[in-house]
Parts: sequence; C-alpha cells; structure tokens
Amino acid sequence: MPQPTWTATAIRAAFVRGDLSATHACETALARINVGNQRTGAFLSVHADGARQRAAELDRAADRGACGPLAGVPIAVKDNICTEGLTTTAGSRMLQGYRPPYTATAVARLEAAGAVVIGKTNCDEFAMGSSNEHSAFGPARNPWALDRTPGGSSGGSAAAVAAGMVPVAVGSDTGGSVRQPAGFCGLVGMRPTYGRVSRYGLVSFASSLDQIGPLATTVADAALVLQVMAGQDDQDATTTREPVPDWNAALTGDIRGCRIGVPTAIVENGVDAEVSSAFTQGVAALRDRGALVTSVDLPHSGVAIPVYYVIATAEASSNLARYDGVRFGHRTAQAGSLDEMYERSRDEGFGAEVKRRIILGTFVLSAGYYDAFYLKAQQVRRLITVELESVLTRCDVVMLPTSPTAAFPLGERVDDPLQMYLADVFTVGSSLAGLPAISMAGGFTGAGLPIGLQLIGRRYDEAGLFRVADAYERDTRWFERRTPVCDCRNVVVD
Amino acid sequence: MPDRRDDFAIRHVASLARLELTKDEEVLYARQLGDILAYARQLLQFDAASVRSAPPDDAVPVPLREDRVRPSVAREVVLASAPDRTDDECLFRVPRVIG
Repeated sequence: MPQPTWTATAIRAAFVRGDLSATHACETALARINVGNQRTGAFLSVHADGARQRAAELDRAADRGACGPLAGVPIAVKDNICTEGLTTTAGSRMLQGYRPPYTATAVARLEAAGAVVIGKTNCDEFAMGSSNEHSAFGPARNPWALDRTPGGSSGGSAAAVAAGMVPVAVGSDTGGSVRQPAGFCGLVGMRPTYGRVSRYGLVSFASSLDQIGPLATTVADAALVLQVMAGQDDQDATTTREPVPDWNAALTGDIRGCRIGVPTAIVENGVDAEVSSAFTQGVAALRDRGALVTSVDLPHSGVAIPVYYVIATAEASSNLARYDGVRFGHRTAQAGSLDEMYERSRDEGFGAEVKRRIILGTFVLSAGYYDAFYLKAQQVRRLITVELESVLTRCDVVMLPTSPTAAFPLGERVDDPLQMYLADVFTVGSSLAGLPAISMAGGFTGAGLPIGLQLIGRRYDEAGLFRVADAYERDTRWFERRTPVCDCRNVVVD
Repeated sequence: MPDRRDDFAIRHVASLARLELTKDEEVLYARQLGDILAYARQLLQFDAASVRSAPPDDAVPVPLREDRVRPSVAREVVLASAPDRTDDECLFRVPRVIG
C-alpha cells in the first residue's frame, strides 16, 4: 500500500536516511505556500529566511538521527502562539507588527525536536470564532471549496495542511478551534487533556479552556507532534506531571473489545443528513473492527453552549484587559487623557467579535449578574464534567460528529453570532470538562466537502483516542483523497 | 435580570470594559447580546445550588515549583514593544494623569 510522502513521519524518516535534505523540504513548503497562500490566505506571515537558516543547520548535522523526532519537518504555527522575534498578531490589529520577546514552550519544544517553523497562520481574532472570518487580516479559505470557511479559529493552520503547503501545523483549541477546522478540512486535529501542553506563550483567551494541539493528515503525525509538545512545564502551573506515554505505540489497529459510547439522542437532533450518515458509517466501521458500541445519555450536553459562552467570555474579558495601549500593542493617536487612551486604543484595536465577547464577559461578571450567569455556568460546567466522566467509566471513548454540518459558506453566519456559536455544539462539552478529544477525517458530502468525526476520551487517555482514530483511518484512508480545488502537493522543487 | 433586549445597558457595560462604542455599535451589540443572553437564560432553570462550581475542588493539587533566581527578559527588549517610552528608554510613557 503506497504511503504518503508529505507527512512529518515520512519527511523525518527520509531526512534521517539521507534521502531528503531539510533544505529541500523547506524549499518545497515555501514553493507550495507561494502557490497556495494566494488562494487560501492561510498564512499571515512566512518566515522564509529563518526557516532556510534552520534547515541548513539541520543539514549540516553530523548525526541526522540525533536531530530529533521532527528533524527537517516544516511546520506552521497559529499566529496566537508566541515566537521570539517573529510577528505574532493573534489575528488582531491590536497586535499588528508585535514581535514577542520570548517563544512559547510548545514551539520551543518543536524546534528542539528539529521542526522548522515556516510561518504563522491566520486565525480568528484572539481565537474567538468558528469560521476564521473574524481575523482582522481577512478570512482563510477552505482548500476543498474556496468560497467556504476552513473553520475556526485555527482555520489558517487547517487550510495550510489540507492544501498540502505544510505536512503539519499547530493550533489552539478553546471550544473546538482545532477539531472543527480539522473536521471542515478533512484532517486529524487533537485537543489534548487540559494541562497536557504548556500554555506559556499562547495568547490567552480563556485560560481554563485553552489548549494547544496538532493538525495533521494522519493520526500518526498528530500523535508525533503532540508527543513533542506535551509534558510538564515550569512556566505553566496548570501543566500536569502525568507521564507522557509513547503514543505511537498505541497505533496498533487493534480495537477489539473497545467500548464506544454513542449519545444517540444528541446525534439524532439537528445534524445534517450527510453528516449523520457518515457518522453512522463511522460507528459501523469501528464495530466491524471489533469495537463494542453502546448507546449513552448526556442530558446536560444541551446547555454546554451557554455554559461555554458565559465562562469563555468572562475569562476573555479579564485576559484582554491587558490590551490598554501602555506596554505593547496598538495605541490610539487620538488621546488627550489616560482614560481616552485606554478606550480609544481598545476601540480601534479590537474587532467586532472581540468587543462583543468582552462586553458579554464583563456583563456576566458584573454586580447583580455574577450569581445568575457566571456562578450558575460554573456549577453546570461541573455537572457536564461529572456526566462525561461517568459515561467514560462505562465506555472507553464517546463518539460524536465534530460539527452538525460540513463547512458552511463564508458570510453565511458572520452577522449572526448566536448561529455561529451553535456550530460548536459538539466540541464545547469536552472543552468544559478538560477531556481530550480528536477529530478525524470521516468521509465527504456529495458535494465533496469533508466531514469530521470526533472521539472524546478519559482524562490523560490520548492513547485511547489515537488508537481508535488510527484503526478507523486504516480502514477508510480518507487522507488519500486530495482537494481537486487547491492541492499544492503537485508543486515540486528541483 | 435582563429578559428584554432594551434592558441590556450596553453603554454602562462597555464603560466597565473600557470600550468606547459608536452609536451604531451600541445598537448592534445590544441587539446581538440580547439574543445571546436570551439563549443563555436556559441556564437559569438548573437547580444547581448544591453543586460545587467547577473547577473541581477535589482536583489533584498543583505542586508549586521551587523558588529560584533566574534572569528575566531584558528591560530594553520589553520596552522595544512599547507604543511610547521615556527618552532614556527606561519607562513606559502615558498621557499625563496629574496636573
């Protein structure tokens, strides 16, 4: 069976064998970005010089095998993750041109493992959005249908991988921002357990929810990238000391006896017919491999959206208070007083969705409404967590679609925030509970749009998710299908 | 409890958030946030009085790292990002507050 060559796993192996130079992989990625970025807007900045320099260093290494598990692999990083000396805008005018004085732990670990950071990818402003349309620098487009969203907020990372510009990318997931774009673009996207990956250097949106995760074409690549980033970090007190297992060892294809919980009542309600059909077929494929499928009940999942949007906006209103025009970021040119400077800098620097969320978050934390909304949301968050954890004592994973629909057209929901929020209905529950979840390529609609299927696992059991997703991938091999619209993998360099 | 759109005191909340909104923004956000809050009101039906709020207070305690002295980011590097700084490049500069 032919294996894909534009994957992190294949590039690293070819580099170590001496069949491929890091420079060649880097130049290939740059040439593909040159073609693909014009059509998709996936990248906000490309760091060609730095990437070439790093690739050349790797090529000079005496022992290529010692260069790390991602040696020579070009990687794209979402633009809300800090990279020292490289612009990090978080998709916001507030941070236009901002060059952080330090690098995020996750990126530092990728670089130490031999990865070559090739550029920074488009995203919704401060990661607030589900379509990438809230980027201050224009939306990214879905490589499978350029008039549709690639998802959000890590839409640029998903578009970059789906179009074949880079083999792997990194995003961040607060309420589904890695998984939903992965689903919309036919990729694998993993949100690890809260605390698995350091948030040091991730531009904060909602600190009790934010996690960095990989986007890739195969489960093996997602596991490899997460393996490198995961683990305790002194710079982030919420990282876990739980050991990081060898996730590649979980990719056995053997899921006999694995118990898969399907919340039938949720899946039957409000899901597009083609997504529902793909979901049913996905469940059947796992059953055929020996998994045991049981129906489960998650009665509180129906309120996960309001709980999420109360808590996430409350945390955002606090986190984004730091953008006041004093120390870094945008400052208005039109201020006579300090108060005017604060207000006008924020008015000019933030886009509409960020303002909406800051106002909502400020409201739910304000006197008279704190108990009614914020405290209540925290209590129901606890109910959702207990419920999911209870279900996961009776089954090994819970399976859901990633989203109720395939990628929707750009412009369809951007003026209706509530409709946009409802796109997150299947992803916010595991975020609130801090549990790991993976979106895997689950087939296509009749119009050729990818469909994502999602698995939620027990705390720290990313291995279980990788195992089941890999088994599914072995049977379906959806990653072999390439976009007929914007595939850059046919761009080659000498 | 804001159960009607016009009860959402957008200007007051925006001022708490240090946001200066145009009149058009006020009208638009008041309507949109009213819709969102109307949706979020389904939370209020939950009798969760006996439920401890998340994050769980029986979670594994987070061990604190040892105190140790180490270099921090250099002042000039931090100030390089400042929108305005004093002539000796030692301080952030903001509009005069007193006198």
